[in-house]
Amino acid sequence: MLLVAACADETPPSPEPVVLHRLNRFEYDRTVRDLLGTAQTPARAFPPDAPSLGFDNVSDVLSLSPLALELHYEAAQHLVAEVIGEVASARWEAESLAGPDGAAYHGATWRLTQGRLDVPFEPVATGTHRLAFAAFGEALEGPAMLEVSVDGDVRSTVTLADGPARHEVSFVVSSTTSHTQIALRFVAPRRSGRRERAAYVDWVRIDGPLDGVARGPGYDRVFTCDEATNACFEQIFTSFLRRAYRRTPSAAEVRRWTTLARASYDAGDRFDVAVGRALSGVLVSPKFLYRVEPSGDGPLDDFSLASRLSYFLWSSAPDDRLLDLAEAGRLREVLPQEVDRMLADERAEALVDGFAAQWLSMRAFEDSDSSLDDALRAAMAEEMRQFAAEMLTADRPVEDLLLADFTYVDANLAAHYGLAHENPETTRVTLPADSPRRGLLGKGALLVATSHPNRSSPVKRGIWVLDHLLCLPPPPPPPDVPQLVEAMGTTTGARARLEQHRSDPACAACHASIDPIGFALEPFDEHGVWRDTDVDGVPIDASGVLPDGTSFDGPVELSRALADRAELRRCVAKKVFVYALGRGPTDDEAVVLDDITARYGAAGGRMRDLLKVIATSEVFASARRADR
Amino acid sequence: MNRRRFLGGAAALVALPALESLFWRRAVAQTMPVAQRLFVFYFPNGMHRRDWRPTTVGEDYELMPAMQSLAPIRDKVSIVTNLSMAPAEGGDGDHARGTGCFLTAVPILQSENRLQAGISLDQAIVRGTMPSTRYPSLQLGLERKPNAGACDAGYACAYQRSIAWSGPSSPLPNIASPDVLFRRLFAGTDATATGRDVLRRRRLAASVLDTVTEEASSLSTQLGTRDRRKLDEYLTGIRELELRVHAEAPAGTCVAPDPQTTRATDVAAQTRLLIDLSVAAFQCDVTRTITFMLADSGSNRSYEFLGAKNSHHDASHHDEDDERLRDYRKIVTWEIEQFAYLARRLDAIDTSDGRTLLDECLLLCSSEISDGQRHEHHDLPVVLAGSAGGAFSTGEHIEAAPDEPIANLFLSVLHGFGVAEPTFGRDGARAFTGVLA
Repeated sequence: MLLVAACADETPPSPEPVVLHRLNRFEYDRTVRDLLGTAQTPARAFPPDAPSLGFDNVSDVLSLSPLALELHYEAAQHLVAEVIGEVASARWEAESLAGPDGAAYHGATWRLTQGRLDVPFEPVATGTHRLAFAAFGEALEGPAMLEVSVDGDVRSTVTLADGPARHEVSFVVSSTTSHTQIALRFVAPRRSGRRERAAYVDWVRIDGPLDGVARGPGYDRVFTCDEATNACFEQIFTSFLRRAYRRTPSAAEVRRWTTLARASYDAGDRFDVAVGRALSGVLVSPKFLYRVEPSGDGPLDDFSLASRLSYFLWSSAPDDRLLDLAEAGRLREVLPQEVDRMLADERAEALVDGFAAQWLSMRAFEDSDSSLDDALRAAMAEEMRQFAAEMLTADRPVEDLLLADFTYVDANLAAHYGLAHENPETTRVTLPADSPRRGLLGKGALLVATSHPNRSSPVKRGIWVLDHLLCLPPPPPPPDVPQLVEAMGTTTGARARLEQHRSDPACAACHASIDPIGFALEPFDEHGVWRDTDVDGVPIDASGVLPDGTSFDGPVELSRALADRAELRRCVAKKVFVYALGRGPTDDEAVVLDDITARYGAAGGRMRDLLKVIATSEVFASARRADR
Repeated sequence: MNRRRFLGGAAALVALPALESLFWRRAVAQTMPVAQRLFVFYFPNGMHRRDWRPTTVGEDYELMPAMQSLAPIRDKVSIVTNLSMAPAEGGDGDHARGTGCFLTAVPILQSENRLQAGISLDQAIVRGTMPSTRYPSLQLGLERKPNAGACDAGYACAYQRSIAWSGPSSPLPNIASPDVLFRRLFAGTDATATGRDVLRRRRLAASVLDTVTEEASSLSTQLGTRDRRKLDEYLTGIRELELRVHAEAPAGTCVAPDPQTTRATDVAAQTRLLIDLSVAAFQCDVTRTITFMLADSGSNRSYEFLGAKNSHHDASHHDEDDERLRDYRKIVTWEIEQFAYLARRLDAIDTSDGRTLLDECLLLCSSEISDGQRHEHHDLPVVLAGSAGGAFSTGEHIEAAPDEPIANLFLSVLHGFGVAEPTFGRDGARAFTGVLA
């Protein structure tokens, strides 16, 4: 029986399929990691991908702004620089540097009397770099000096001459993940009584690493040969394009990039630099940035299926084995075995950070404004992460999401939960029989994510359960009704106020479903701490009855009641469906979902059964049709 | 210019083009009309009328409680009342609809599978004026904070996270990180030793992008309409990149904020940094169009640092409760202070002919709804600042006819920026000339 039948709403149909599926930030970082072996995570700088249907991989709404493309382009340069071990050389004229407040731009130089001149250097490799600059000083008593600092640490104090001179300071770059901040600060002579003192800076140049750089881990993957012959260029691009485009490249594609690399080489570039230039183009090609699938009726080609599998289970590109199977036309034959292999692979961890992190609001928790301290926050995130990881792989039915009698805590979080546990490391513990911490609904991360910054929210929690576990999201309140006012009115006690609110028939239909669930979780405050009385000091009544007559008292009974509902398995299937396909099911796919639900139930009802049933389903292996 | 005094062999070789470009910029500045700039300042959850709406019309209007920070520049500020966004009316999801319409003035499609809005005012101006700046436009906004990841039911989150739309299905996401923005605006160019090298590099970069474009064209033949639109987004990005490959580094004499503080830890600091960087971007003429979201639509951010007990969205549903009204006012007052800070920073920078940078800008400040309690789109709070080089009148409270479409204001903004469109959005049929000088 539906809990909120009257409130349910269907999304309007979209007439035409979208088959261009842009790699989102999460997928981009994993894809370049697997393609080039890099530890860089360039997508951190990309604009966030706005989610839809609860996930950030819904292809229809993933757009790409010019600025985002520029950041992809820049990321490509950095990735290639790492592959070929490019040495950075950057030079700034004074006018291209931003002067500090109080500095004057003076005759093509910056005149510094206070503040710092900052040089935002983006290193491409670690190692010793040389900073060179031209400057002179102006001071009546004592020498003028410039203090050179790197990332806030003073490296050198240079005494300036009256006339322009070149100065050098070397420094070590230890990380390339963010820019290195070089700052030049004028140091006034200690006993100068006159105003006429300043440092003038003309240009700044950085070279490095001075001892050259090791080629990146991607070098051997890309450079399968290293002579500037047509055959070698072709070999390199045939192999690289296959992995970047996730299919066998056409002769025209190979020729296109080979021609570009060749032209760069003929213009005087080193062989690896010339190849690198074309690589940087491949990494911004739409065929790399988007997964391109054919549309229409019928089965998907094997390469597209390989990509669907790898982006579903790994959030990354297919590996050589998948591509080989696709090329040989054998992928469908061995599909179940391949899915097992992929789930056992460590790359399947992406399901925790990609799928579970969104479905179970772990990302929302990380963004939340709660006043929790950092240690607790980290422990809660880790608890949920490890719990989700176990649920995805373990031999446990989906219902254990709600019923599991174990969790992962460190001593700090255990104390927060009122559990006896001394280990300072996060450890798996079995919960006492009477613990309210069973399953998801006792997890701090979820309880905090569904609270307001400064108080718990029965409404948010109720809606969360309906939406995320039963797939019955209630609609927003009708217009012109005062929004749910959990702190409204004069009645004492959060529960009494909500019940007062529910006396309005416009609200009652949905709140009759939302509130009892939220009330059952009220014994957890906004930090997930157990309590017996609410903010007003009123004893908490955690009992409730849903419109269909199900009654419960407190979180554990609520969890049991939810675990008994048929909607749970189907809802979990729906969430995985959306994530797996990057789209919502269409109206006529309701039967497909029913079938998936029945099949994974028959296979044991575990998360991994569900993942496998979907990965091997017909809908997963079919081209996207025009929606009705 | 005494660069010749300096040592360093390579310097002399690259110095020449850099100097030329400086001279060129100055010469242009003297002969060309003012470079008009647009800054759209969005804040979520509306305002209570008593906090912003003046009770008297004309130049001597009263600055209501939330607007006090505008007092020092009140002669450069206009408040416009009675403007409404009718296309945002109807059904659930007032925050999503109000934000999707915010600068597009067309009804949005309620869907989580498909985006459908329209081109936004700022992008219409970019399209109409074709600025030669390094960035045609910039989209900034503060990092998303809760609502527990929730967006208005039935609407893709993109509707609530962008106000700039380059096309009906192309929202432009915001940059939230001051660090990323700073590097876009001011990081050193990859200058090499000689001018000839620079030219060669540019040619090669251009050839990379040419090849990428060929790849895109070979794709387009296989695609349906909606995918072609996606590919168009991509190609627009490639064209902009090509322009930037050939663009000069930003001209000197502009003062950027201190980049050692580009890692902001709290909302207030991050806001200041993004505003400071915006001012620098205008000053250095890196862009002439910026849209800025102080938070995502419907944000329930905590403002404990202002002493507000209720978080933002909760407080905006005040139900005339004293405590929530107080919190709501504290929050909107702070929001307008940020807008005032932007205006005053711009006003502190002299350009030429006795003008300030603010005089060359039009700042438009508003929200997706009017009063948070009622969630409507009538009588939206609208604050303008600056005259965009004398195109707009300032220093008064302008009362429009009841429910005048805000799209009419947008149409007059287009006209003020020299873009001669006959209509804008769904209901922008005639320019609201009240704001034009």
